[in-house]
Amino acid sequence: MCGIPCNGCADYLDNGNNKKALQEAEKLLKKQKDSQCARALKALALIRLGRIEDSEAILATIFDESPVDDSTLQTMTICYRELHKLEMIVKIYEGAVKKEPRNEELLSHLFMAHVRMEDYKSQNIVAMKLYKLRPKTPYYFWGIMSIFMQAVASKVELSKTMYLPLAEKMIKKYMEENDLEAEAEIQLYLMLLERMEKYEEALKVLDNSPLKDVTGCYLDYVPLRKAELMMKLNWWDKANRTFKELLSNTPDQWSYHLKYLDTIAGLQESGWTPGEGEGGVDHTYPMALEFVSSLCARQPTRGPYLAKIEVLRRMAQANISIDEPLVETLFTFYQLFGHKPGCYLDLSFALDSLDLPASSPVLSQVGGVLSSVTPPVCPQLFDRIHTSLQSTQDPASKFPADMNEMQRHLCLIQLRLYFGDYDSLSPEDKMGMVREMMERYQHGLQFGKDLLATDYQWSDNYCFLAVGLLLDLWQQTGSESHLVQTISLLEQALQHSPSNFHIKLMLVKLYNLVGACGASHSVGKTLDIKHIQQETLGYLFCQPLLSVGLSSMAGQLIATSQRFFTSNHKDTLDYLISCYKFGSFNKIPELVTFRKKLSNSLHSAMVTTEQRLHELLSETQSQQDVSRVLANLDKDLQKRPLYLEDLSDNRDLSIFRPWKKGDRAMMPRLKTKSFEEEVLWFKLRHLLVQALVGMVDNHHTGAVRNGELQATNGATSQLPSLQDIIGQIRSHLAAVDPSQLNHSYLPLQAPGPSRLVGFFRNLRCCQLVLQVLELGPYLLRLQEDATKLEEELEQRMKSEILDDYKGLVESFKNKHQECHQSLEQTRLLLEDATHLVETYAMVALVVVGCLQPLVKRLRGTNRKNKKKNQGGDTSDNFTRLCSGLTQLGSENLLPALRLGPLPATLSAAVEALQLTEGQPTGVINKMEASYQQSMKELSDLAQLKLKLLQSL
Amino acid sequence: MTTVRPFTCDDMFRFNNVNLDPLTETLDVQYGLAFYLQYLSHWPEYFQVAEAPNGDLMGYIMGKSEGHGENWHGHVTALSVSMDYRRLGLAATLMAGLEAVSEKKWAYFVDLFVRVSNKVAVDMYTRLGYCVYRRVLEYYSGDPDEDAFDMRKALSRDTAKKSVVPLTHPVRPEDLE
Repeated sequence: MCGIPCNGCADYLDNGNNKKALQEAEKLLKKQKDSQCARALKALALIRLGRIEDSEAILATIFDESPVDDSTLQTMTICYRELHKLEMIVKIYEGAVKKEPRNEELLSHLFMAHVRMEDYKSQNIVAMKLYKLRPKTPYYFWGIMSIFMQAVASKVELSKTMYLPLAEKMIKKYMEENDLEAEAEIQLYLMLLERMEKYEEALKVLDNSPLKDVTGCYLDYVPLRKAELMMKLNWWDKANRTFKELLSNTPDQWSYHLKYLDTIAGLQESGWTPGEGEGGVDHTYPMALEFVSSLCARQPTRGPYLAKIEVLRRMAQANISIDEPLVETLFTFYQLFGHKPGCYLDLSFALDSLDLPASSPVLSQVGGVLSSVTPPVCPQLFDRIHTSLQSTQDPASKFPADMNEMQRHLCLIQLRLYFGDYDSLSPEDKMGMVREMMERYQHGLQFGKDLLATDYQWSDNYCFLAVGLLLDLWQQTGSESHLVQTISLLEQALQHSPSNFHIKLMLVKLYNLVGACGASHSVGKTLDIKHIQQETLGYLFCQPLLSVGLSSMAGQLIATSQRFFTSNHKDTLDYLISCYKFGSFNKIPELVTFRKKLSNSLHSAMVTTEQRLHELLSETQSQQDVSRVLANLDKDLQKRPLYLEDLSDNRDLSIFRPWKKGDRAMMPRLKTKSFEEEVLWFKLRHLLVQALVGMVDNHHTGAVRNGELQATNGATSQLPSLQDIIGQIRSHLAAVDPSQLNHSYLPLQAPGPSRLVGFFRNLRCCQLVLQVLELGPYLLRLQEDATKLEEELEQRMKSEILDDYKGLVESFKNKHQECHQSLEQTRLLLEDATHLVETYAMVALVVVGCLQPLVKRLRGTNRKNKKKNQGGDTSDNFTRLCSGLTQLGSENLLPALRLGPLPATLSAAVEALQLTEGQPTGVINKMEASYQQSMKELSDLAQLKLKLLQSL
Repeated sequence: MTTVRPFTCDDMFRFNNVNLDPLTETLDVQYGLAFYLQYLSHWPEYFQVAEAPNGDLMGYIMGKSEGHGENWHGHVTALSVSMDYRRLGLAATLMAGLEAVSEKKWAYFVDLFVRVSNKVAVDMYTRLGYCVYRRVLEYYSGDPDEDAFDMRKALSRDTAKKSVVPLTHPVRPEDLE
């Protein structure tokens, strides 16, 4: 026991009042200066106050005393968790167990400590020790689960020959003396048998065990599990019977329908025919048709009807003649469910499945214009629906009489758009459609006038249809007034439907498309993206904001993302431990995989890198700042290396629903391509950060802080050498063909282009930074031997860099002089400006952080050696570089960072379309505000670096 | 047409369709990932998701079982259905599943909390056989705080339906057992 009351202090810590907690701990220590618990609490308070070194010192002393007191150990556990030193938790409990080997509590904590490390072997050893000490069943099964996880983590061979048989042997041994009773135990046994592909044995367990009566299993768990095992054993007839039974009870369960039909496929393939007494098996598709039809007759739920469509599809595929035309079933489905909002989703899915084989050329195409492929049944179906709509609608009215009628109409139009019926319309006709959709949207609002603010307007889908058509028009005509109009429509719809996230997500995408990422950030804030959404949706905001120089907004997002990643790292481990405690064994492998996906997250790696870059570029106003930031980042890079391989793509694209079939088909491919490009972009950025930080240990501290020259690169750092990094960057650059990158923002639902596009457009910027970086190693060489002047590099320092940068600014000015005419051009302009300013900032950083100290030292050496030689030239050239950069910043760069207003013709063109009740100028103002904000932030950054250079 | 199946960790990567709904937000805002993981690791059988044939997540339910003696009951912690899949009876299906699990666990009743202003939800639960057992004052913090109805439905073990006899006075959140 702790011996003294530490509760007060612990309470303060719980409430986040760390200062008070520290005072309290110190008060306790005055009374009892050796109290381990009070010291541990003090250490925790110190961690939370950011005084890591002080805290670590205290922890080290307590550690040496090998505490056994529970409160102390638990507090230390929290400390080590927060310090990310999970291995130390193992060590303190190992120490404690050594002192009290028969303490069950301590041993079980040691087990949990191994769980945190995912050290399955040690887990097993401790679990068995626990079982020996107190023969409780859960301990024994912790041990088996640990072996199971060893099998999961090891190579197939080892898992098959060693771990799985070992785990099985342990369970069998247990079963010789005991019955498997608890659900957790049976579950684990089943997991094991399935992994060993011993399906028959698993079936026996399910048949004989008390599992079917065991509480807690969900609904059909036992029969479903059995049927799935039967399928693995190719016992199609038995499986078929079971699924029929299951479906009779839950006819709406889609997965059962699919599996039921798969058993028929299995029966057909194996040529099964019923023997005597083998009735009740549906072994042909006509039998299946009869069965699902009987389910349809029972109650009108979507399941059996969609299943019927699936049966008919399979029959058509197998060339079995069908009495009932497919279109009838589809139409019946529409009649029954057409008034529900989900009907379009179901029918588009069903019609999609009727489609051409997967190898259709449409699917292999990325980008370019796609012709939609319409299943042959579509025209017929659409005609039927159209006729039925006309027959029910009041001929005197253009609009539906009630919400149900409206949903039915919506369903048809959505389907038609999806299957490309409107693709070939002329721009005028398309515009006519857009107007009609908006009229219908306005009319439909009356059906939702009693909705709560948290509900969506039923007619929102009309607005989306108009949006889809307008984007088509934009593509077709190139007129950006359509783009502004699209945004206006959505902004207007958002007023009526303030919670509809589909509207918000589209606005985010569209504002990003025109480079008005500040506006997309504002919309994004109302989505209230949090915890895992940072991971799945964060990509929509961070990179776009950074790409147009809005780093302060991006900075806020990055900070919240990083908090999520840190806390999630702790949380997932805690719940891994819970899984053992509560016997939720089947969740353990799942959680381990989930953790891995989060730790290998590309988004997480990307935001970390951008955060580092932000620190380097935006938080350095003076030479002292530069030294401090470089030193911090050098430590950080070594302490928190990033995963570069096996990165995982956790972006959620399923949230975006493509309006067109062709677009939908392209999505997986676009996602993969986008991921590849994002990975490359991340690697380049990461290498750049490494190169910039690499200056510090290789040159800066080497040359200045220690006062001794480091002859070789990388001597004081574990990081790769600068030359190495530059080499890697160059080889990455050479491996990319920029024309092969995805440049398209459409379909809107796809991830869109990566920042690589803008990067390669401004490739000279990157090359310039590399050239400046190379001066560092050159100056080092000069320090060794001041006579080894290299003319090319001297020239580079003297004039080439300045000329190059001046050239970049000039070409930026020329290129963008007339660009304010268009929104997309404005985005390009902002991207280019961002590259231009970032380059200036990086060059300034290298000059101040690396070159300046080296030149200073060179001057000193020359003076000492009394050599009035060419080293003087180097120094002069460097001075020239500095003053030239300052001059370029104030006279060329800053004046170039100005942006005029968008042309009045654009708003005039938008207003001419007359689609919205509100003023589209509001939208244009939002964009303008974002553009100006981008320019302001970029100018601020340029100013900051100008100051840094002037400080020399 | 729906597949109801156990919720998995990976579903968290794609349940935005359900979770961007403004009402779902209120429950997880302060807990984050830990909230879901806690339920997944402790009561996985009570955490089910409904999936559409096209792969969309349509909605999910999470709950737990707790209490002693005659208070042993199932609890609905969260029930959320995507706007696109409303009016299909999905909430009822998911509730029926949770009730069946609670029956198997031999619980006396199932309970849940709902904002008193959420008329749609209160009506739906009433249709599913739930009644207001008591009112909990200022259960939902916000501006202003809002009361909750504690609604209950008796299960077969509670033959006398003792668990659903309404209390006459409202209670404070700190007095909930």
